[in-house]
Amino acid sequence: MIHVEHLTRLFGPFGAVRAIDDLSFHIERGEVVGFLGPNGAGKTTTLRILTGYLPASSGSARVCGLDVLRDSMRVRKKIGYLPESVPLYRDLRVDEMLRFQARLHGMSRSDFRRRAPAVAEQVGLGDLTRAMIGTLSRGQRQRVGLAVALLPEPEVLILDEPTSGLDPIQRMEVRKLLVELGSAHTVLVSSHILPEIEAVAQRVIILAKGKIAADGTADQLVSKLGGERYVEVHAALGPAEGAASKARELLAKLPGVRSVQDQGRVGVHHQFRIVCSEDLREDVGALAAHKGWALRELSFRQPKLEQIFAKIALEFESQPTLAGGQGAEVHLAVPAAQVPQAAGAAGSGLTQLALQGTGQARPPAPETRVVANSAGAAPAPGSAPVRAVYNLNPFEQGAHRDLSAPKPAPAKPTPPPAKDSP
Amino acid sequence: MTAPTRERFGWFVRLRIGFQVLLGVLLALAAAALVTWLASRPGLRWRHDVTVESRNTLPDELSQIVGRLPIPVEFEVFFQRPSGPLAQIQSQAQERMRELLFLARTQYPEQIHVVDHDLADRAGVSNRMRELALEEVDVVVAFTRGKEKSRSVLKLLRDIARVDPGNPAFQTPPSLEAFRGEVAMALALLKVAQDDAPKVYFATGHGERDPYDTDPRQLGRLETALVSEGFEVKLWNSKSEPAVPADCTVLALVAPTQLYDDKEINQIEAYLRRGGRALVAPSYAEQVFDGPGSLSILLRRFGVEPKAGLVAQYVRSTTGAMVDGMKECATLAIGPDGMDRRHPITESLWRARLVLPISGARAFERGKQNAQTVMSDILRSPSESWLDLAGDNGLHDWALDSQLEEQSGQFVLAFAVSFAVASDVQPGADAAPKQGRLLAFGAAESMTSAIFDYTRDFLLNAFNWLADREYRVSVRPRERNVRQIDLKNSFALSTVQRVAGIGLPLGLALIGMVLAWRRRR
Amino acid sequence: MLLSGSWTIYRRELAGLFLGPLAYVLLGLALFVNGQYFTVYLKEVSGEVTDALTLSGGVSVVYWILMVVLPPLVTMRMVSEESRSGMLELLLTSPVSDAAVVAGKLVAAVTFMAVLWSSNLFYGLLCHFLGTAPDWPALLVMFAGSVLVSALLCAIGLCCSAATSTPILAAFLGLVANVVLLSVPYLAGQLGLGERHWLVRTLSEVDLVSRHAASFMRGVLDSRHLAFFLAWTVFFAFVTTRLIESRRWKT
Repeated sequence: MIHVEHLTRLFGPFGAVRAIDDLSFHIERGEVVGFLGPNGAGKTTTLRILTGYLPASSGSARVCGLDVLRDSMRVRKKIGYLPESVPLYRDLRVDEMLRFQARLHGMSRSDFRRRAPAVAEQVGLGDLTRAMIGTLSRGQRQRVGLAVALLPEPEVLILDEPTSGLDPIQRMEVRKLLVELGSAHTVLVSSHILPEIEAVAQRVIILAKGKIAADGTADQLVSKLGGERYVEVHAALGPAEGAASKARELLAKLPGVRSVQDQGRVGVHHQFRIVCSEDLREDVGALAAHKGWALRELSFRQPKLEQIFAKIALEFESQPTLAGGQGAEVHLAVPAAQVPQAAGAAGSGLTQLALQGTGQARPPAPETRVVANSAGAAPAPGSAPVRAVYNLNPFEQGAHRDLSAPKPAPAKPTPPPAKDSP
Repeated sequence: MTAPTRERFGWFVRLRIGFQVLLGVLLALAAAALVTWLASRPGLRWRHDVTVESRNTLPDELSQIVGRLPIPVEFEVFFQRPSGPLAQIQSQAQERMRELLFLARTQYPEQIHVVDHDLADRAGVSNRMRELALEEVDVVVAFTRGKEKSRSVLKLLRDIARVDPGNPAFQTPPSLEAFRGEVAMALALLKVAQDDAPKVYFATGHGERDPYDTDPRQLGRLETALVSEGFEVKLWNSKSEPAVPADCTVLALVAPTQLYDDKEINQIEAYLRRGGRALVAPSYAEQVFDGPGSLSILLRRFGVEPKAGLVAQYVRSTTGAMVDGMKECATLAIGPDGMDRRHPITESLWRARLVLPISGARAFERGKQNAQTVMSDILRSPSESWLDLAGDNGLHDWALDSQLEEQSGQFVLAFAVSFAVASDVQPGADAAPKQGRLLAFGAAESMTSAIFDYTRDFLLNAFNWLADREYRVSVRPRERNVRQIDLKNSFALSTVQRVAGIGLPLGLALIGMVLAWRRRR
Repeated sequence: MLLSGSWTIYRRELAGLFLGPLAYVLLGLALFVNGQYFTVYLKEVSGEVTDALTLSGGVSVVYWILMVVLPPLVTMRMVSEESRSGMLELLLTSPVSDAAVVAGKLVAAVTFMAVLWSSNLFYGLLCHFLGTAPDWPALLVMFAGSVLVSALLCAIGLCCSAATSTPILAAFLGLVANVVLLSVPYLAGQLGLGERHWLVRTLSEVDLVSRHAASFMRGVLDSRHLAFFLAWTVFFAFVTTRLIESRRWKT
């Protein structure tokens, strides 16, 4: 249905910015595919190329066997596209907007009369068909946008961030709708929010920095890219000199341990990551008890799709600690000395931060909890209280929150993101 | 494909697209310019004046002249901002002249170029005026490129418009009596586009009227008009130069008060027989009316028989009765009824309903004429006129006098005669005329400067006809249908004001409000 | 078909113009001014109906002010606003060509102006019913001329709208462009190259007011001026199309 070969798109003067880079994938008829990636990963660019809005710098994209550039008009007839901004004429009524779309697609009058109530029913517009679009809420407009995209019975439905800016209930509704649509259309839906994709798409394509980082079902991705399982230990080893290296040696000797990483000291606690093939918490606990280490944290972690996504997306290899337990709990350890004195300014300390995944409420997902312990650690002599700047949603740049500010804002959906393409 | 090459390919492609688009835009620019240019080519251009009165089309006669121009003619307009008591008329005339030039330029962009000087730009204008040797403003100058010397200067209130100064006593404001812009323009075009000016020789030496004298009883103004008409005016003295000059186009014999000798008459006849052209206007003086050496002898040879006496008519006295016996009886007003409506000389006058003042006129009748002679009686006196014969004392009593067998009725005042060139004359070049022309005009007095304003059209038409330039002289008065709302009818005006000025915008505002209200949710 | 779908765009743009109050505010104001002046003109030309109509619908200063100011205001939102709201993305991914989008929008803007200038026909009708019929063929040609001038200026406005990102900027740019266009002959005179210089002569060909439009206002249908307006309108529409298209490959 959709064939993308070596698609590359450059932006900026002299092609300095490579929005997407050598992208290739195929989507078969009837598939529901999620396009996942942080802002700026190239999702919108790819979708725009597929809809014929942007030409590719090189490579080819075919929809229903037709080249999107050469047969642009025919391709456009086969695609229902809902851009991220949900463009609608605010001064029209819903049915007028639908009629406009029907005319644009050259639908006959009878087709329109048949389809308009059907799509209104499908997206749950109810009695809104005579309402002025300008007076509708964001969620209602999203539904109208979907109705507009669905009206000409497209073979391919391309939805760019269909849930952005919606409240949880609206999200759920849209998600439900997408699942229903999946049975009749080939759907390509993009989002930077993993659970959205996981909920609706059988297949996920993760984009990062314009490249396909992963492609497959959620299970496939986890097993293929699963990465390491490890036990996280935070323990007070005592004041003795060389205690850390000694402890590390001891831990490494435990059966089943592949390697031990000493991740430094925060306050009185030493942190170790013990990479292993199975859950070694009991062994570690026993060792700690034996050695009299005061344990503060002992957890076994294995990656979820979410972390894989996060890792891919943010290239965490070079970043500070990301550790997670069964829940999406993140412990953040920031050496106090590394945090600038007045790090209140957003962004200045950003790379120092370990971040947590989806900061937005989503019932099926594990509850989000953010733990910042730099303040809890014993302050180094002479150091000022540390302030850490967090972004609850790692992928929404520009919405940072200073947790050490007097009154942290309650966990609430962050404002809708800016456009994610240059 | 490796990454670096792809990258280069990317921006290269975009640069190429950019260039292609730029090229496309430039091509479109060229195409638009080409279409604009093509549409103004004479062959491809199509112009249709849809106005009811065709007021945007040059008169056919002028169009023909312009269409036949061999080279483009430049018009430079030096109109100053009108001021003084005639300001309104001046500006009216200026506006109409500008409009005429605009029309000509629009209709014939190839042939007519117009530069309208802004007299506020003193330095530039005086420079240009010096170049064109102009001495006054409010003129239009016509010339062809490279031949600025033989320019034609049209003065606003002389050549272009004729002003009726009005009469303050009767509170008659000054008005634009006639707009002659079309004629002036046509003549200017002909003059400047012509290589050689036709030459008019005025015979002199026998008491004829002098074209170079500014006295009102002389022909000074005729000369000026002829020059601005594109003629060259010269004198021919038969005493010093027996033969009529070879380059003579028209010979004018205006009211000689002495007799010619036979030789001179023969010379003139020979000239005419060769295809020459002459205007013959006998004097009212009785002593040179007939006999050897008189103009009557000459006229008779071409089939025109002068009649004795001067034409007179009754005049309306102050009491309203028609009376005779006054010297005013010798002044006739020849209206359209007395003109030949087909002859080139009088056709335009007839159409313009002009009235020609004639005084002290002699009458003619058809005499013995040659088979190859065509005579048109182009001017006729009113039907109640009579031929007043001089009494014994040589004076006229200006009364119909049966004792003297004075005739009454309608008399011919001017004959236009065309005759075939004598067979023994070898036709020289192609330019040699195939026929001779003679205009017998009974009223030499009407040619003088005193009443030249009123006879100007007739005389210039006559000279043009004689010089084979008759196609150039028709004037077609433009009458515009009046489509005026009566401003004194307060109903009409106030209705217009209410409906157009208030009703319409208010109605629209209402529609807008209703719509906004209906679509508020 | 290159322009299929432009009818839909045209209807939508017309609805966008005439379903909002802005159109009526603009029209109402313009017609109020025009109507008041028409009465003044009528008095000025001593009741000569056709002359008054020519003034109000062709040669007066008020006419040209409206002509210069309104097209940018009408067209300012057509591309820039839609580009901001993302509507343009929807249009350009619909099975409608860019040219059709531009054509539809342009014709809609011209229709608005035509509605404005049709007021002149209305005045003519009014005078007709009051007993003095104007020179109707001339009046119709005058109207056609006004529409053609509007078309050119709207195309320029649309071009500015496509070239800028905000409606206000587009309107300003369009206004400046229109004023410059109308004063080309004057500017040519200011170059100081003399009247015979080829550049001055070429530029003086672009004499919108006193040459190209004037021909129509006098009641003359002339292929030359017809071609001028059509060719340059199409040219600016073409440029607009390319500008919109450039959003696809630029940056």
